[in-house]
Amino acid sequence: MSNTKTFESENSSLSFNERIQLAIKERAVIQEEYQNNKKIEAIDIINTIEKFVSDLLANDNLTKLFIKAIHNSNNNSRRKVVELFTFNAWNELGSIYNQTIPSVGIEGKRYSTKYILSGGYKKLTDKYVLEKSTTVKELLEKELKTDKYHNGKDPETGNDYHVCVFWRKTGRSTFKNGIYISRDGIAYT
Amino acid sequence: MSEKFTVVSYKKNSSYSEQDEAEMANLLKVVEKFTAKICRTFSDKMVEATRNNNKYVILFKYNDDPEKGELFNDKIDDIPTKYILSGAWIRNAQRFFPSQKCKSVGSRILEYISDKKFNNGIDIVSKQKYNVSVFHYKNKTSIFSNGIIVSRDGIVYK
Repeated sequence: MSNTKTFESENSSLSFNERIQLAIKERAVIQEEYQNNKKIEAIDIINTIEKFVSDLLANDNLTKLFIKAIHNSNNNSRRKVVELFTFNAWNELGSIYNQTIPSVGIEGKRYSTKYILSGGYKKLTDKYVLEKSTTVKELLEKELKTDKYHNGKDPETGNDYHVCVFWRKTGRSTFKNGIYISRDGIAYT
Repeated sequence: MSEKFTVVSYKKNSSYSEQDEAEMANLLKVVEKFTAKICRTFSDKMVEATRNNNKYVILFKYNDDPEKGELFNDKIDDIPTKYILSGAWIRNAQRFFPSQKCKSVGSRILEYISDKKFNNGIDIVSKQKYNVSVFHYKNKTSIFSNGIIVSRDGIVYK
C-alpha cells in the first residue's frame, strides 16, 4: 500500500489560482507538521545526550577511572589523560564499535555517535529547545566542576580538568575518536 | 585593359535549400511539440512548488555529457536537446519562416505562463514575476542542471 499523501490542490479540474490558494493552506499545515517533528527530534536528541552522559558517569565510573589513572601513571610522565569513551565508525580505521547511540524517546532510532559528539545537531536544538540545547562536552564540564570532582581541579596535578572530544581522525591524530578528560592542564584538540 | 569580362552566375541550389527548409519545418514542429508538453506540466509543478515552498520549479532536465553521469533526455525526437534549448537554430529558421514562428523555447514558455490563467506570470505568493531560465551548458560554477527552470522569487537564474 502506498503512503503517498494526496492534497486537494492536486485536483487539476480547479483553476490555477484556486489550486495555488489550496497549496498555500496545505503548506502551512505541512510546515507546522515539520516544525512539530523537528521539535520532537530536538527534544529527543537532548534527552539522549543527557542519558548518554549520565550513563558515562553512572556507578562512579569516572571516579574509578581517575583512580585507575593515578594508579597506573608514572609520576614523571607528562601526559595524564583519562579515556572515558571511545568509538570507531570507519572500516578503514579498524573494527566498528559504539558507532551509534540509541535514542531515548524514539523506538528503534539511533543517532550516529559522530553526530552526537560533534554537536552536529546544535543548530536544530538551538532553534527548537534553546533553553536546553547543550553538548556532551558542556554537560561533562558542568559535572566536573561540582564538589564531587574537586571543582574541576585534579587533586594530584593541581591542573584544571579539560574535556577533549574527538570525532574525526587525521594522519596526525594521537587519540582515538571519543571522549577524554585531561588531568595535565592541556586541552587536547 | 581588356573590355571583355566574364559574368559568372551561381545557380541557387534549390534542392539543398528545400531540404534545409524541410529540416527547419520539422525542427519547428519538434520545438512546438516539446514546448507544449513542458507547458502542460507547469500547473502541477507550480502548485507542488508552492506547497513545498520551493523557490523555483524544474520543468525539464537533461544530460548529454557522459562525463557528467548517465545520459538522459539528450535528444528530443532525434534532435540534440542542446541544439533546441540553445536556440542556435533560430537564425537558420528565420531564413524560411517569419520571426514570430522562430521563437526560442524559453520565450515560448514565458509567453505561455504570462497568461491571465497563471495570474499574468506573477507568482501569487511572492508577487514576483516568473522568470524562465534555460541552461544548456555547464561550467565549474554551474548550480543548476542543464534544462529549464522557472523561478518564483523574481531572480533570473543564470
